Amino acid sequence: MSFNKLYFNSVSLKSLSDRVEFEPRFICPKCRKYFEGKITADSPKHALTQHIMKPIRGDLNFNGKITFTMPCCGTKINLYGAIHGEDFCISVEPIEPDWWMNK
Amino acid sequence: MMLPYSILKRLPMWEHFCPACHTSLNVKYYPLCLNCGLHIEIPMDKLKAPPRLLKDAKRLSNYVHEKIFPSLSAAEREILARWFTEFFNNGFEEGDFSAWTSTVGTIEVESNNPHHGTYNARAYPNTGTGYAFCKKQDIQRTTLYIRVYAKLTTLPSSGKTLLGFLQARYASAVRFQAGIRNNSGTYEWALNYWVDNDNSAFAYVASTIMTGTWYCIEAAQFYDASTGWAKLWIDGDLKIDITGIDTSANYRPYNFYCGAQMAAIDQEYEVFLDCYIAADAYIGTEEAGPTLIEVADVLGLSDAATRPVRTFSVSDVAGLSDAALRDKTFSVAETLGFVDAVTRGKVFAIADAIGLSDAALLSVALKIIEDASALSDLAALPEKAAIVSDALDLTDEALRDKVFEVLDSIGLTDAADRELAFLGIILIALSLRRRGASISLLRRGVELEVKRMGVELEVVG
Repeated sequence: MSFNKLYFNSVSLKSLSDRVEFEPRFICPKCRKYFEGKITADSPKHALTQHIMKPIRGDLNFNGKITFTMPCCGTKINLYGAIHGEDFCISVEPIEPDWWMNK
Repeated sequence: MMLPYSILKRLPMWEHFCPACHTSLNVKYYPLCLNCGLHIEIPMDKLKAPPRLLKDAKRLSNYVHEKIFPSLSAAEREILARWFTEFFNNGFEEGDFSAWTSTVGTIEVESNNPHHGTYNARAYPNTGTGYAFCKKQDIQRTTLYIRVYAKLTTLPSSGKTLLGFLQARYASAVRFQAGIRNNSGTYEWALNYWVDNDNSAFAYVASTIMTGTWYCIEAAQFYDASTGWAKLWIDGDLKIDITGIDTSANYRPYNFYCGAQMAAIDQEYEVFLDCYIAADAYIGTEEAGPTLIEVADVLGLSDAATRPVRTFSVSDVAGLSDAALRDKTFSVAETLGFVDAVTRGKVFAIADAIGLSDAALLSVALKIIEDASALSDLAALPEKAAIVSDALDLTDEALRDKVFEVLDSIGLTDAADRELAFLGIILIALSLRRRGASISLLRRGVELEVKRMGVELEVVG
């Protein structure tokens, strides 16, 4: 079963020493359990438990469809995510290429 | 959506669905499904289900606009319109952003500062991004009202304007938004609106604005070449009213934003947001919820307890003179006498003596009667045996079919008004006339057996 709504209650961009993490905090629509989702520039197909790092901050320029798989029940959530520098966006619809210019 | 009963009762209770194509049936054409052509053989009451429109605010709004509103008077429509002009209504009560289309920047749903309900949003425009929003994509609107409740922990620095608590955009271009400006130490509500077809303008009104206080902020714009307007309300009061502006270009907004934004942001801000509504009519402030009042006095039975489901701890004593209107059992501490009006089918332990003069309305067998009963007492109870200790004479008025032992003598001078047969001995001397005379004292069909020999009496009946 898959969903395409924003089943998270927060989303943040963490700037760590060696990486930048884009983290929606999901609430599984089926189990209502909380999970941290982490997205990086080269993880368009992403499982919640994986951590793929992108060490060069500032070079992040990601815009694409992301599938999150809930570890509790396997429910998939299909969303679009975009990161540009310190700007980030997550949406149920494709994000326009110059989205960060119109914030 | 909270609906008033006057509207709810106008809505359909059931919707019927085709068992084949699962579309809504037009019951006028039952057993035919107009969608798939199926001739339905299932009884109609097996096809019904709660109407889908009750689960979908948009369907509900459409139904009311199309089906109910045409049947209402203009005055009724004006009253009811506020319930059914909402394009979007969200107080973050899902606990997440699932009702929204996208988020940008650092914004979250939390439960620390709700204005209504359990959850609210917290927008955190910081020095990194300068904005934090959630966005709902809708369709273009000619008249658009947006209302939100907002609370700040930090007011803008001097010369800064924090905007975007509510915002309407065409694509990513702002059409109108509301915020707060610090005009050299004076705080002002700000309305940014679209004017002269494709320009942005600002209007401000000074006000006392404080941190930690919820404000109901509502802004609206109407798009027209000559009669366009823009308005801002704070806590239900119209603060800014711009009229007669040209807003005719076809760039009417369709994206609703909620959050906060500051150009060249100078510090981190925290804005709590709740109760977001977009509509085509004035929305106004949230209605006040129920107020809990603590009652310090004692509840007695004389108080009118009109709620059906509440249980009160009653500390005073209930007497039978209290009006006990409910099917409840009370501990009755005072003594019950029959002079008390006992109107319930209950059994009481009676400690005082009962006399027949008491009005005994209960159909309960009384076993011990301590005082004497005379026939002059009004014995209103049936099937009761009483020991009568005084003497009965015929002057007593015996109203019941009872057998009494009569101890006194009866003479013909006694007025015998009853159709009873007396077997007795007439001991007094009769002053009889000769045969053929009448005895005027005996007026009824009473037979007398006279033991005195040789005397015949003709009794005139």
